Amino acid sequence: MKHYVITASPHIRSKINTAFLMNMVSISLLPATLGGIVIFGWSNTIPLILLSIVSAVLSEALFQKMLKLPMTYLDGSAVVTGFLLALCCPPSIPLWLPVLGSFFAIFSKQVFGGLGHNPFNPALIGRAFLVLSFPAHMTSWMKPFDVVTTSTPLAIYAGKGMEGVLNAFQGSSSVMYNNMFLGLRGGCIGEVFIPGILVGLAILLVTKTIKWYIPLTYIATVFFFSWMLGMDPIFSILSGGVLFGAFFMATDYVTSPMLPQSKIIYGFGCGFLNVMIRFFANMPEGTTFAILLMNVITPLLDNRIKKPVGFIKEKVS
Amino acid sequence: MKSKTFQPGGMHIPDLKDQTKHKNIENMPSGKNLLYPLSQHVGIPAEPIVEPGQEVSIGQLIAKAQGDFSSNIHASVSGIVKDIKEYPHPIAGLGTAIHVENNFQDTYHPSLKAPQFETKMDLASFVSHIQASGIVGMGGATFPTHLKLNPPPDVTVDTYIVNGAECEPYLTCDHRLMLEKTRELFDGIQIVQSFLHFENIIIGIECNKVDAIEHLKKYMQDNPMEMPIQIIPLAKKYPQGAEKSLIKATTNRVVPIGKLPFAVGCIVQNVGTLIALSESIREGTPMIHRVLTASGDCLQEPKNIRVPIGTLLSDIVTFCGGFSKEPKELVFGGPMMGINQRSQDVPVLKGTSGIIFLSTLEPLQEGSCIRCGRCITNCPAGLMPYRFVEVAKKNSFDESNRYFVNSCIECGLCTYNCPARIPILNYIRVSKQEIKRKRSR
Repeated sequence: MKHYVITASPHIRSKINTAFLMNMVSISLLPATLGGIVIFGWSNTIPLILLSIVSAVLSEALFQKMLKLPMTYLDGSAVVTGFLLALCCPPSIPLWLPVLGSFFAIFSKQVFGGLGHNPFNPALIGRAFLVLSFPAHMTSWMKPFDVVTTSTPLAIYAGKGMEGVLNAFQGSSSVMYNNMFLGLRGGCIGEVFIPGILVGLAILLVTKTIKWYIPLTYIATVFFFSWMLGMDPIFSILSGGVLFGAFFMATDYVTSPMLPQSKIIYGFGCGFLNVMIRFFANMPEGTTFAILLMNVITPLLDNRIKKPVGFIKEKVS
Repeated sequence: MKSKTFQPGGMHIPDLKDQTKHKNIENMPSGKNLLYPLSQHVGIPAEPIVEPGQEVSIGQLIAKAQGDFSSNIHASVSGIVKDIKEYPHPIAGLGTAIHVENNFQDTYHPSLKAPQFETKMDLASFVSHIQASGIVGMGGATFPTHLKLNPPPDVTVDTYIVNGAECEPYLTCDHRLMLEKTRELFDGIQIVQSFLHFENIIIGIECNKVDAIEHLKKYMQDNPMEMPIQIIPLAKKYPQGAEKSLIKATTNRVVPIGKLPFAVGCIVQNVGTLIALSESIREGTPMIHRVLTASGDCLQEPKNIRVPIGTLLSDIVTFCGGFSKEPKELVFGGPMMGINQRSQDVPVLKGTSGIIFLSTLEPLQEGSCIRCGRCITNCPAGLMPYRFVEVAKKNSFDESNRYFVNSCIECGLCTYNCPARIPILNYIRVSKQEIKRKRSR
């Protein structure tokens, strides 16, 4: 007698799985990466990116083996971590830095139980670790299409104000907007080429990988508070890693809230902290620490009970 | 086409209906052995009124309803009652059933005759005729129709919604019924309207059945009716055919948790039920046939078929030309909410809208939740399904109650979408059972 398999409904599944989503994030990073490679030269970027990814995947495999966890190191999440970390490093840093950073990033995830359990965005932890441990390396920036070092527009702004920034761009604000939009400035590999970042966002939104809540509120908040504090708001969102962070880092599933209202609060918090760090803390850029700080309160933001459809408040008699 | 839909939640899933949506309904001849489980409806099982060895004929009452919240069961073939004992039941697993061996004489029971509907029928005798005919909802929930059409005196019902959404993948039986049994469908609506006098009658059809929408509209133009009927095209979105979703989509009313559609002045009925109702009033035929879709990726010839209730699955497989691929799963109903069967030895029930054979198993390896939020976005009940997994793993079912686990309609979208392949709905079912068990203690 032939017997069939018994399982509970539903009996069909969506084709979208974790690996698909992770790969979608990696694909959305490609346009910005391409921009960075062209601007800073392939030899200063490609080895760094590849080594970072390989290090992340191998570290993931190592930890999963050691902790006797399911071997899911090829599900794309480690690739995303390594990729993101490389993209928020300055070009042409010594290659052992991204290797070490990726290892630490994966460590920070596995130590809490692996994918889905990490309170902090692993790539940002990796970056924070590198920035705090090797500040000299992590703040030596390359001039586009050149080998001399330069400063980021934000660092110039912190030192010399808006006038200094304009001087760096031939004294013309239209050249400044233009160059900053196209990525002709000092900065991290992935953060400079704004058109590529926007294409990446479009990919994520169109494929419904992420929703608009966090990126939009993040950018709007940065725009508003920069303007309130007297900084050119367009300069503010084009500089540093704000767009990159808002689109690819703050939207990380695991470390951001799930409910729409919570996402809006989270996006606001990231943007607000980002501006506050830029203006009042001892560093020109603030995206990394703004998002890491908001990661901390993500569980709090999600700790709500959603009222179901058809809910009626019971009358207390 | 401009269409309406419900909010929040729901999503379009691939409908997989192409195999059968253009195929006419075929009449399947009755098989040698038929089984009539006593429980084919929501409510109390019927009691058999025949003895083993007794001869029965088509349309004969063989099991009698027990009280109001129950339903009659009639023989769909003529033959001899072999025995009455426990048999595999497609939903309950095991249940008492009447086994009838077909004598292929096709003799009809003499008691079958149409009631004198036109001249002397009031609501009470109409409802009791429906009850006697054993009509239950054919969409799958099998709620006794006589209860639905007899609202309690303290509620006013102004809207009648005919459910032609058919949002489950693979299923096309309601689609074909709307195209091929149009006259009976409108006749059924007319009969109901003549007793209940609704202010609005709505036929809700999803936009993947444009031909049905146009066909019904044309029929209404050709046969003007004095009824406030409107056909509402609905967006392709699962679970639009679920009662509460359909009410929201067509009337924008929200049924409160734990209440029937009566609470918002609505009655929802499946197209198949209305056609059965028309046949019962015009010809006196009780509910002994139904149309279902036999499909999936394994059958040689997927079909829409009209079968006698009680037909064994194995006979349907033979009628559809056997398998082209070895099936691993056999689903009763649609693939989203249907119930798996262990073998082909189970009968078609009144609520069986489809039989789906699938060659691939769903993945069983469960990953970690990556908190993508898809389960929340798509939940038509507005719940936070991932929470139920978290709390079920901690055994704190009281907490899942706080997150309104009992509002879950078990549509399966959370599990369908979960990228980590967590069977969220299974955790929800366990939570519901645990809460129930605790309450009953």
